Amino acid sequence: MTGLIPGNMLEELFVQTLNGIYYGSILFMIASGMTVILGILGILNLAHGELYAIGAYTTTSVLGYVVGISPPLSTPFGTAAFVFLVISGCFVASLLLLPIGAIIERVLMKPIYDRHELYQLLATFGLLFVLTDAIRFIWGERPVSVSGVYSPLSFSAIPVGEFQYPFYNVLVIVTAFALFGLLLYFFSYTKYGRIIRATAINREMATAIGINQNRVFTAIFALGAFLAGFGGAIFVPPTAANLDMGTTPLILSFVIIVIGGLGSIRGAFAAAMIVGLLSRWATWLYPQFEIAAPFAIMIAILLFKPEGLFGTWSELS
Amino acid sequence: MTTNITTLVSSLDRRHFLGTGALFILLPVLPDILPGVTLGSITRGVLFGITALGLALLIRHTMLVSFGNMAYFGLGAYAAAFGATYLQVRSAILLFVLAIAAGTLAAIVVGYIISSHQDIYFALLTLGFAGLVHALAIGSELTNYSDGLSVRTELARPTFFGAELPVEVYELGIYYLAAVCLVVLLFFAWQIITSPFGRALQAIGQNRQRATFIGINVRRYVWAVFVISGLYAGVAGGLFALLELHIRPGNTLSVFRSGELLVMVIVGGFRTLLGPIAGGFLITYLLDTVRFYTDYYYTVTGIVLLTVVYLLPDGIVGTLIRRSQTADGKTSRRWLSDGPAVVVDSAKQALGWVKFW
Amino acid sequence: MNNVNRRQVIAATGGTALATALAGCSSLLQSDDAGEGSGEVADVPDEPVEGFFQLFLEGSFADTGLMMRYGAEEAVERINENGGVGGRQLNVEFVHEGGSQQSNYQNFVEQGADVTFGPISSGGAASMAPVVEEEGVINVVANGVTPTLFEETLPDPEYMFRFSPNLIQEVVGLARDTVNELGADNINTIAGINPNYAYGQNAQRAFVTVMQTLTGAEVVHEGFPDLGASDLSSHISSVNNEEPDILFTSQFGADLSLLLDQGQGQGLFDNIGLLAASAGATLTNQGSEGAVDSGEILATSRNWYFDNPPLGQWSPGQEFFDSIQSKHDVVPTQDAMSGYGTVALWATAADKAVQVLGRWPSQEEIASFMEGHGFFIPQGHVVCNKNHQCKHNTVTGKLAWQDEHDVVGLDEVSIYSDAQATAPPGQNTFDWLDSW
Repeated sequence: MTGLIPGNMLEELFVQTLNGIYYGSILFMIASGMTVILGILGILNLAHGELYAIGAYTTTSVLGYVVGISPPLSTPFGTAAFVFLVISGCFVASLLLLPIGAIIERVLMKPIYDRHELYQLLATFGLLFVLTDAIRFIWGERPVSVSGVYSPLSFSAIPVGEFQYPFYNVLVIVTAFALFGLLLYFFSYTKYGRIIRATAINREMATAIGINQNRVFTAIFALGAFLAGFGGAIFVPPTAANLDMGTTPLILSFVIIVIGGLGSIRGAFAAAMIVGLLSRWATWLYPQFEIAAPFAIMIAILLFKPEGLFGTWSELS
Repeated sequence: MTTNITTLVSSLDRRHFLGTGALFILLPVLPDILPGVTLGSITRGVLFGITALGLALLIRHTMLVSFGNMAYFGLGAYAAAFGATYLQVRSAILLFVLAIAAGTLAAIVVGYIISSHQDIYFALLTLGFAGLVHALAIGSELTNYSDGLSVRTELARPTFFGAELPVEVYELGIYYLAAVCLVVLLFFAWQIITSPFGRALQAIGQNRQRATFIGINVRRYVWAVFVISGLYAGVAGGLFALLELHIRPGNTLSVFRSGELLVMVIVGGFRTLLGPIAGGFLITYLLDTVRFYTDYYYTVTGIVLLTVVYLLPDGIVGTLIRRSQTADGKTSRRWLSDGPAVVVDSAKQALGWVKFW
Repeated sequence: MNNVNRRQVIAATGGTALATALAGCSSLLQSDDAGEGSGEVADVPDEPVEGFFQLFLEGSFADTGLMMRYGAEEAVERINENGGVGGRQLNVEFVHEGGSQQSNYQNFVEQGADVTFGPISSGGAASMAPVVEEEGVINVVANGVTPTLFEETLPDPEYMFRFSPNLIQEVVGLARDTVNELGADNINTIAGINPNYAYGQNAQRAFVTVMQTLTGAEVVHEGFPDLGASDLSSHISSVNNEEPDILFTSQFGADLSLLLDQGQGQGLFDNIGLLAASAGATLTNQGSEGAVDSGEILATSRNWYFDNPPLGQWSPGQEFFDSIQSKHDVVPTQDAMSGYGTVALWATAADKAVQVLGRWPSQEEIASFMEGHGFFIPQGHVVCNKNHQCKHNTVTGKLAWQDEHDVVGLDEVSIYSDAQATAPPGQNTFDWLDSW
């Protein structure tokens, strides 16, 4: 029944690696929002998981509409259009997080910047509670899903040797890499991005050269919220949105950004890929270790290379 | 402001503790007066008060936050469950001791590893260990995965000194055991704070580098206070095991619970002694009982927390103490002379503030 | 229908108007008389009976919980419209069980509960079992399907009852169905993907034990992803690699949907003989046509399936179906029947007790009436055994899209009897399975 053993093993290794990259892509998109806010504002946003959930819930509403209006999938044009509509749908749904993030920053965070970090943490924790109930109030208690998005997309599968690989997974991977590229480009090579990093590293000097720190902070928090929401948006089509969904991504985000380096986008990406790959290889080879693995790695990093893989930068060092 | 409170605390004396003790003797009357409040929920308030107090000891001077103190609570509870399930231990006291030992031991080990780290790294390490313990408990057959373990042996409750007690007596017994532990640990906490050890911790919190320069072995002190917070958590975990008689990972080890613990400490006021206890009661009440009256109990809890963050940074009890202090000189001296009455009064005020009645 | 004598109907279904209503046979009654119900008996308090039902009203089990609630509310409504329990109206409050089933129960007792129902969580049921026995207020478990409840945790229950069959029953029924479908000689390898907690682990173990006895098959992969996992691709890949004859899963709801969708995308159905999904019917209202038509899927609907007997051939079932659908716009599943039956078990027994005793009975009296008690619900006739577990058949079939109702359902339905799928009285389930 099985062919050449080595060949099969190799194929399975390849697919499990792809799975690892897929999971890593999801993890990166989830963690990127947290690391941006932490790196530039120095705030650990505990409401991150709920912002992610809001992105997911909003997406179910938006994509429900999208599925209704999209052209049939039978033609290549149809498929391409559908893919475009799905990604834009996720994007548009996440845009809701921009004003939400901005309001949170202005109303909740600004008044307490000069207080001890503990209070900023607790403010986001209080926000977590309130947002959970807000989601329940708007979308109800039952899990909400988008039918008609994942199934059609998974039909067009890509053959990998004897295996088939769902198209949606590939889409997610491509999106994550694109996002990584964009963020990196923005923060390292554009003027505005450089200015923002300067603000983070030295606030007094930044103000001295005329940068409006308030605006920058609001914009960054909004961006972080958007990224969190986008992670949720991309995540939800295969599964469903439910009220508990924010807890695990919140905790995993912590783990990822610690391993990668607090505030580092490169670090978040690398760490997400590593955790993704190791988790999937563990599932394949040694399932018992699956949930515990990320924490074990996190502890190891904190003990032996506490600044993370790519180092911690700005206010935190 | 810190100095004021520590001066305040050091002027408390034995009468205050007797006063607090008197209060706790009366609490079991509550279930008969208030609907929806059971002796079990009051006991839970007490033991989370204990856990919060332990965490507060860690935070108050060193300003080091632990996101994972529930791990020691949970380990303590599970130790008791192991004792009953695998070792057939029937004695409640022995199970209790097992719990304390487990929580403390775990805190010794983890504390040793993390005590030289600072700020956010310290916090994240505590989180990491908590997450690890939680994951192991859920995934392991030894702990019976998410279904948990019973603390009973063949359906029978643990015995007190060999005697099998009727249910009501047992529950009352656990409550009083918890209350006694609370008063004792409160006293112990007071002793710590007013001792040279406490002053060293204060120095560490104010300026870590300077503390090192004047010869304080920062690492040792942090380790020690961390172990103490773990001990308190272990005590509470053991009490929890004896109360609930069935331990599952969800309500003992989850990282979110550690977050709730932190909320208890801050809402009550981490620079005071009664604050974390009051916080423990309040948050337990909100999460345990309020959910029967409204679906939106999370919102209530969130608003309480946000109110404290923005308006009452010293916590509820902390703000009350500060107010009673600065109002006029006379008021502050009342603390010295009217001991028990004032403690009871303040506690009532603190509790009444949030419409406990 | 016109020839049906009112007295005959009532007598046949249990002796009171309440029992008749719960049987779903009220339409056979000709007049609206409250009937010679027990309501006319003196010495029953005027206040309504206070009941509490704990179940999952939010989170990943919300769909199960809500469905169960619909069924329970239906039963309560029928009870109250037909004179109530022994003449007393029944109030049932529904509470989200969360993680604190035990303290919920204690809270209910504190609030003066006359009876409690639920929970859904097996771990929760186990944790509250000793407390139920101590407090002495009857609790009927609605779901909590672990086999160990009355075998290890509480071998000699007095106040704790369970309506739903234990989970092993549907697994064994499904295993038999699988063997019938493929033939014992054609089954050589099995794989399993189950949620990582006691429910999933027990299900896998039972399935493997039965299959090994019936076919001698070998297990080639066992995966236990977390409940609510977002990505099963890794497990699917491993299974693809092994090409088993049967893939067994006890996953339900969104997780099962995910397995089907991701499986389809990864060509799972080309690499396995068939998929045996013990909780397949949980997809009834949520599944999509494309997902279930992708390959051969055998599934169970536990103790009741809406189209068995086919709608139109059994009026109690039809009425139940119509009522739930018109009120909530969903097709009822076995969870709705569980909610209904849980309440009906207690209500019919208590009602009968009032009739016999002429007054409101004590908890112990009701409990003794419940043992060995037979009652009718839209599912059919159900008996509560002496060990406090109700006796059921298991319904299996092929998971397929039902055009007529626009839901996922079962084609080619088979029934496995109680004797084929559960251990004999007094024997532990796993001992029984090991002894084949």
